[in-house]
Amino acid sequence: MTEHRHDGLYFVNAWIDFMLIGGVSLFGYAIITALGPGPREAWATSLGGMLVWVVNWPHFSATNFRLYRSRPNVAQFPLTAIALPLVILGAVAASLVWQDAFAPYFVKLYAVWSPYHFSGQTLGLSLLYARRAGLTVDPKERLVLSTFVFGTFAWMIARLESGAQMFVYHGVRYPSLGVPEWVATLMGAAVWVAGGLIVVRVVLGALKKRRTYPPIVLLAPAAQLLWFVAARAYPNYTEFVPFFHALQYLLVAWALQLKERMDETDARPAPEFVAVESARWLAANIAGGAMLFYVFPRLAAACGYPLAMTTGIVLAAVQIHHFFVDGVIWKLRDTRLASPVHVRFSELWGESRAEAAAR
Amino acid sequence: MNSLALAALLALGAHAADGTLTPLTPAPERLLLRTSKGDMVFALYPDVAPKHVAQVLALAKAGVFDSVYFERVLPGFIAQTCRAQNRTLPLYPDQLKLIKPLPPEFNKTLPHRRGMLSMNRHPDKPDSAESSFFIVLGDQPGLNGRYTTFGELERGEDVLRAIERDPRKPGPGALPPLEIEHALALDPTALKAVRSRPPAAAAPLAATAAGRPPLWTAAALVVMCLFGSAAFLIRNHASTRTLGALGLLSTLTGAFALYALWVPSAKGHPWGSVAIFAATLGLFKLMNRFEASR
Repeated sequence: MTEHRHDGLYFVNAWIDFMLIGGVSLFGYAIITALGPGPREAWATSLGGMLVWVVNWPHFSATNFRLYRSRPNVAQFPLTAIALPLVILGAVAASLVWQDAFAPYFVKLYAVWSPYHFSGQTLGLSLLYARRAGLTVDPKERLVLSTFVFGTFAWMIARLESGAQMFVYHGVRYPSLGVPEWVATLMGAAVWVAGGLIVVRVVLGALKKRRTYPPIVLLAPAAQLLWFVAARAYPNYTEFVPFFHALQYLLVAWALQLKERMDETDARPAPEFVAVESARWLAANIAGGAMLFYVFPRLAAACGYPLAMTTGIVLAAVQIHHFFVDGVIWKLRDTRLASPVHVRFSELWGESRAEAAAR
Repeated sequence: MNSLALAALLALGAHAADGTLTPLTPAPERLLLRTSKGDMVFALYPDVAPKHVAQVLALAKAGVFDSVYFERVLPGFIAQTCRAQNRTLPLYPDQLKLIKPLPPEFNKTLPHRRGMLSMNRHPDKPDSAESSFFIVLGDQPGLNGRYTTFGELERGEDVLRAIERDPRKPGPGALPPLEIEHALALDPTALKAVRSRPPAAAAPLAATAAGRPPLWTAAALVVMCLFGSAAFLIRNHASTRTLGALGLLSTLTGAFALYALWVPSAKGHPWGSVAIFAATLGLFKLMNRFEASR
């Protein structure tokens, strides 16, 4: 990594960024492992069930909000915005018609894709903070980082898919692939080798240049290692992994939304602007999330199908759509995104650079 | 008793007991058991076994029977489920709390005959019934007075026959035991709203192996053709990004069709599984370029 500059590293500040990007994951892990391994307990499912309304579901809605909120956005990605939902709707219909032959594989596609999508965000966040820190990641470093991040995903999936068991997602059952166990071993080795190379790189960089890299650059990959690898025996923890992922997402999406809204409306930086726009954005996304995850499955069930099954199918559909939309709208190489993703909260709040530095 | 009265009693669910007829009123809620062979609906009789019926309904509502499997299918005798604690999915603590030992409610009103639901228990402990139950597959007078009957098959005799024909004894290369995917306690109105799953003639894999590709593969091919045709028709007007995205949609549809066809047959073919695993990761990577500029 080549160092350039180090101003404006955080969206809000070190503490808030640290907590949302991985701190909550780390502290949560410490607490739950202290309680010991065991089956998923009622408190975890209850708390997880409450958090989905205000964090997990809104994070999906935020993606749709970002794509569909303006005609130029829709016009920019017409296939993602219009054609893809129709294709996915067709897949939902096919799942309801062929409940045994189609639905299990549609849901399985989602279930395997989901942690891959998490990994994409993890890598993206790492690169984003590297960029904000003024670090240039060369192709070899990117390859090692990608191997580590996607390796944790592949390791977890290979382990899950190595048995002959059936999985259940809401009302839909789907089979495992029956991957040989050596695949998981191989993926695990790749993760540790890549992790070792990252550590060596960071240590060597610190020794040669006599400075430490900002920990937040590698915080998201570290958190993912907990999610997918270390927390295997702690279902009370894995219950919250989607929440941790959504927290990361909401931080970036929120900052970006405020910045773009400010640019669109020529609003002046002010606490009132931040408060009003944040409240409006959050309320819209809580409502949107409830629509996607609560209302849509019930609408499908109203056609005469069991709610558990329609919930599984519709949620898989909503999330597959989310994976596509996210892939489209969060390209860091997109020049239109390059400026907004460098936004600092102080620019929106109206705080001067000196005040921000002093804080 | 004239024939009209007899018919009326039978319509109410009357059953022979010691030569007399007793009218039985089923609970308003029916128990629906969904398996891969199809749906079975049972009427439950709280007049005969109130505690058993209450517990079974409570367990069904809490999802305790979901993924419970038939551990013993003995044609002509019984199809017996495992204990809920042994089901495929782990039980949540609040589900576990609902499973309580039941006192015997042996009765002569509901004899052990084909289609009856009866509660399993430890042979030496009459009050050890909890969550394991069995469906009687033939007349079994020897079980009367020893096990508590509490319900009767109302719909799904064809499904019961299909289960009886596929006993799935454990052993090398054997299929996993048949599971109850969902058990639902439904009132008649809700029951009508549930679209029942027809009895499965064969598993998806068996249909493919028999040389008849499932109908949905034709739908997938049509969708692929549509994307290909669309790309051709708009080639002079669309950007390379749009054409590329249409190509990816076609790829996704085809890959998904292959996925759904191959996954059921992948087990037992380790390299096939590895190929599917690797191809799936490649597919995700490819989809990451959907509608991307470069």
